[in-house]
This record gives sequence, structure tokens and C-alpha cells, in this order.
Amino acid sequence: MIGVELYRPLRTPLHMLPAWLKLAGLASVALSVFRIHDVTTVGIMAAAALTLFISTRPPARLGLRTVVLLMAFAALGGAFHWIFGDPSRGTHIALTLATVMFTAVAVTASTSMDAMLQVFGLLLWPLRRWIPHTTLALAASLVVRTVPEVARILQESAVAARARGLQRNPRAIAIPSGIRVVHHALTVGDAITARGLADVAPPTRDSL
Amino acid sequence: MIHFDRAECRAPDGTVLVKPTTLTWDASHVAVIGANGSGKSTLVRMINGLAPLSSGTVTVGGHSVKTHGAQVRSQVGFLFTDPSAQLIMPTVIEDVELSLRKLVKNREERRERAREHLDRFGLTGKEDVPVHSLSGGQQQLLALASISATEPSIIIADEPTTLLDRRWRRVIGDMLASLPTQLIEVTHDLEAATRADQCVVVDQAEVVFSGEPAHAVAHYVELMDTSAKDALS
Repeated sequence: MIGVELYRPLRTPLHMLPAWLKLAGLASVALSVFRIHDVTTVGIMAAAALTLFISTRPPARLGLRTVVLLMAFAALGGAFHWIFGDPSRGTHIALTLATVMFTAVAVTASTSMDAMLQVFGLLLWPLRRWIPHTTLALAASLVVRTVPEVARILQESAVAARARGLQRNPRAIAIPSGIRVVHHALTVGDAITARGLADVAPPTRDSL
Repeated sequence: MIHFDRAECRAPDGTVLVKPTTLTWDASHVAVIGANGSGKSTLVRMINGLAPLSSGTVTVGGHSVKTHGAQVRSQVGFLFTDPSAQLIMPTVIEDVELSLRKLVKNREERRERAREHLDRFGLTGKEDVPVHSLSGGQQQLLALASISATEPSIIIADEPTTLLDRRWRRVIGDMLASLPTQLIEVTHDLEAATRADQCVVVDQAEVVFSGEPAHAVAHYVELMDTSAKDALS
């Protein structure tokens, strides 16, 4: 949800880079940062990743919310070692997580879903006999698309439960939400059928 | 042209959803009206195979939906009541591009065509906006843009304006009317029904009237008034 909300079609240096290069960069950062044991170096990498994210010019409030949320996640990752073990180890883990997460949001904030799916489609092209890559790409889009819908359904169910004085009863939120999510999924299935997406012939490389 | 020949639809438990129906829809704008649960949505869903036939046939331009489902669906665009459920891709332009995948193989060309299409529907500037952040009216407009991008010869609109305010009802209604396709519109808006060329009344799983819209609406109002009186007595 964070990635989808953050993406803006701007012309920052990171936006201008091809999607495959950004994804390759993200993969190499994620693989290399775990091998670095020096806290200062990882700290510099985390600061660089944060700068990279800011360079994508995210909307102020949403950008700040994302930074706070990711820093909280990173702190949670290091919390165990801070409390029960070696504080410097906890700092190292928190900074490592922060590096990977800030790099990831920098990539998602500067890359459209279509461009990312195209890269995944090309990566999976050699396996097209065994893995239906267009179906996988559609499934990935549906997951991204469904997250805000599920959030909306949960929010509406919570409001409805509160209106009936049932805010302390988790079943009053979970059951109607579950039913509505299933209904939503069935309607989406109908829409996929109606749009002929279930009838699509195997794609050519150009159509990716 | 859509032709129903003794077409029937039953639920898996055997409940009749639409009784055997024979009729032809060749008018450019057909309105389908009826009470909630009368079977009007199922009737139109039988056209593109969303509601499978138990017996009989439905043909679209001579193609049977039973044997040539994919061909029929490529000719028929379907607009649902809730637009949020039919928009599949995360951003506006990507949803239109998804529709264009079969027609335009080249990615750059596809993006350009999608932009032109969004411009036609007044959605310029919204290309990269997440779909969930659009208003209900804008989402329905995008849904219409996405289905019409495939250049269907028929558009079925199942209560497309029920969830919208008056302004968006007008926008979507006018946009639907301006498209060069046959329009099958399921509606509770009797004013909109009278603007159709042909009107069908569905009651208790069967078509009880088909003909001139003013007469169909009068028939429907009488049916509903009688039913309301019975419920109150």
C-alpha cells in the first residue's frame, strides 16, 4: 500500500532510471548490506537510502508517515538485542533493516507498477512453459489493488460496529468484513471474466 | 443483435433465476427495469456468460455464448454497479492499458492509445493516480473508459449510476448515450428508462413486458404499486 500511494510520475534522477536497473540495485543493496558488520558503514548506507527516498520527492505527509513507520519497524527489529543482548548488535540490525526498507520504498516511489510487472514478466519469460507469467503479473496487480479495498472494508465495518455499540466485539468487525471481502473477490472474478482476461491467448514478448 | 431462445438460468440448488425466455434486442438502447431480486441482472449476465445457461441459447451477433464465449465477451463490455470491484490495476492508465493488451501489442503505442482514451473520457491528468483515490463517479468513468477501450459493439450497464450522486449520474448517463454501441442498461431510474428505444420489465424471474418505454414504465409502476398494497394489507 505504501508503494502504490507513494508513486508519483515525476522526473527525478531515480524516476528516470530504467526499472530493471533500480530492481537490480535494490537486490544488490539487500544482499550486500547483510554482509557488512561495521555499524558506521551500515549507518552511512541507511542515511544514503533515506536520502535516496527523499530524492523521489514523496508528498510531505505521506513521506513523513512512511519514514516514521519504517523507522519504527527497524527499531522493533533491533529491540530484542537492545533489551536482552548486545546494544551495538541491535543498532546494526536496525540500521540494516532501515537501509533495505528505505531503498525499497525509494524504488517503489519512483517506479510504476506497470514498469515493475514488465521486468518480472521478462524475468519469467524463459519459464513461460511452466509458469503463466501474465497470470502471475495479473495476480500481483490484484494483490496491490486489493489492499486498499480490504482496508476500506475493515474501516467501514469498524464504523458500523461502533454505530451499533459493538466496538469491543472483534467478531462484529471480522465477520462482516470477511463476508464483504469474499463478495468483493467474487465480483472481481466476474469483472475479470467480463473483461475477457480469462480468455486471453498466450501473449507475445511485445505484449508484456 | 442479442437473441434469447428459450434461455433459462437456474441456481445450483435448482432455484429458477430466469424462466425460459425468448426475445430479441436489436434497438440501440434497451432499458431493463424490475424490482430488486426480480432477475434483471441475471438476465443481462446470461448475455456474456457470467450467469451460465441451464437450457436454451443466447446469441450475440450470431455467436452462441455457450460455444463461443470468448468471442461474445470480446464484443460485449460489462459495466458493474460497483466500479471499485471492476478496476483491476493499481493506477488509472494501467487499467486502460490492461484492456488494450489484446488490441495493441506494442507497449509504447498502447500507452499512447490509453492516454488518448483517458482524454476522451475527461480523465487527463489522472493517468498515474492510484485507482482507490478516485471518487465513485471518477471510478465509474474509468471503468467505462476501460471497457470501451476494447471497442465492444455492445455495452451492458448493470445499474451503473445507483451508487452515484446526481451530477455523476448525468455524466455517466450522457457518456453511455454518446458511445457508438448498442446499450443494454439495467436501471431503477425510470426517467432514464423512458429515454431508451426499447424497455423490458422483469418480474419474478420472467420478462413480463417488452416494448415502448412509456408503456413499460407504466406497466412496472402498476406492478410495484399493487405489490406494495399487497405487502401492506
